[in-house]
Amino acid sequence: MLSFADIIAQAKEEDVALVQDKDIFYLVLNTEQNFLTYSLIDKVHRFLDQIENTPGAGCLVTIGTKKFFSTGFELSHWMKDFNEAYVQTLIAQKLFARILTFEIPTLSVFNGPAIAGGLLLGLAHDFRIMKEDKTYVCLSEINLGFSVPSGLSQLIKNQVPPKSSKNLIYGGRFNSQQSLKLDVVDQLFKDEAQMMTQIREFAKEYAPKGQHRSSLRDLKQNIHKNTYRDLLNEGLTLGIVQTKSGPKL
Amino acid sequence: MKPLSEIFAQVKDESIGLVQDGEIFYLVMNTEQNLFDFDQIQRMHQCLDQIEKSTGPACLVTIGTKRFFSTGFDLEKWAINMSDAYTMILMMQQVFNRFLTLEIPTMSVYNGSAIAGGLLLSLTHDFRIMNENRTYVCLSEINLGITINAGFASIVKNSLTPQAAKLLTYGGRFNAQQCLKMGVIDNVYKDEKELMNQIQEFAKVYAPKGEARSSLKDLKTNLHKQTSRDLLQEGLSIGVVNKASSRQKL
Repeated sequence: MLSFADIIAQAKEEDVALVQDKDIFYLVLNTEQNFLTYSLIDKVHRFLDQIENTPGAGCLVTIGTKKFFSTGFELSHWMKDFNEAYVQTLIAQKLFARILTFEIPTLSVFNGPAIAGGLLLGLAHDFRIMKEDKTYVCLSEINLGFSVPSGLSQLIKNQVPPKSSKNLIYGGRFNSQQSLKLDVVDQLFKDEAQMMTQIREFAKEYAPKGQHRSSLRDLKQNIHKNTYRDLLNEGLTLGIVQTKSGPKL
Repeated sequence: MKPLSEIFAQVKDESIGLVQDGEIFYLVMNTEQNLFDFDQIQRMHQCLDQIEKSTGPACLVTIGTKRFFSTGFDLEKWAINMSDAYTMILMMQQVFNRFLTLEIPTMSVYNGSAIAGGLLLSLTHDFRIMNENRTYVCLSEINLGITINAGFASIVKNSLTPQAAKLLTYGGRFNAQQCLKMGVIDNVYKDEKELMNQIQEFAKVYAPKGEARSSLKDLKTNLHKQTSRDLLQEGLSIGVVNKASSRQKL
């Protein structure tokens, strides 16, 4: 089995990489803040395609390698161009919908803080584990005066209990103990050794459940029916016409 | 921070009133049972209008002044006229929707027991705190042999875990410790001093989050999308036509 150092080494200088260790597919987020940029989202889609082309048992572990898990969207771009906000929201929704209903079991590892869109990325996974020290989750949108768009907010509604969602929306920071109590995460780890143990235990139990790919995909689509539908449909019609220079959806 | 006696005094003899203390809006329900009827619904709308006319950081604290928080609908008024019951439910759904998606953070204070529609009102608020002594919640409809319509049921489902919702459905009474355990409430208080501390803490943390009014309204509308939709649309068509004599316009 690969060590975490091995995995990081295989990711080289890429901002995001897919590293396979037998039946574990590591989606390695390899920058400081792991912003949800067009480039990152595009690459993740291609990695997910790659996984879908390799049949058999398997599980996905999404993990950051540096300070943060992910801090979400690059809001400076949104401030300059509303088009960016509109398109990036829809593109992120599509990615999250794909991860939410992905054909193998999925685990997010909060190696560091998960903020705003980064937290939403984590919530699109089946399970989440979190580092005990110096790590927090924060749905920071309201602190900046932003709302959370209709599609994305369904991840907050449907992936955590009502008590947790009403606490999360007010933009507070929740440390590891609080996140565990709120059921935002499933387990905590103290250090790298414990983290790798938990990942391997996850793979041992869950990778075999990824054997029947199309059944698992269908099961997740059914269980998460409303969230999946909202992620794909909400926000498409704002009455705003895309400018010629904007990317294709 | 003004003491409760001062806040309550400002409502005088009104059945319900809005009192502002700095960044806190108190929605003060000033009768023994705080029953819902057409007049009460109208007054609630006026209080919410007043909040929405204001700007800047703020939060809402809904509280009763006497024995109960609220015991829900005035069932005597329902008994008179099916048409009135039908209309009152739909109008209450509209008010509940306004509370649910209100543009400032909201907290209900169970000064006393919250029963049936009274419990439903509090479930539209973000947070709930409860008097530790001699106070209970009870979704009593089934005890009287009546149902809870789809719009109201959506509120129950939306704000509670499945476990808590199914326990409440069967009309039992739950005291403060049980409610805390079930996640129906967020905190308990022993006496007025502790209550005012908790209100102060709430305002300190949450009033600033009420600054970006339209964003918070949008966020809550998105979060509670299904329930909001249910409150506005469920029950409209039950095949009952409003009689010419019925006073109320929907």
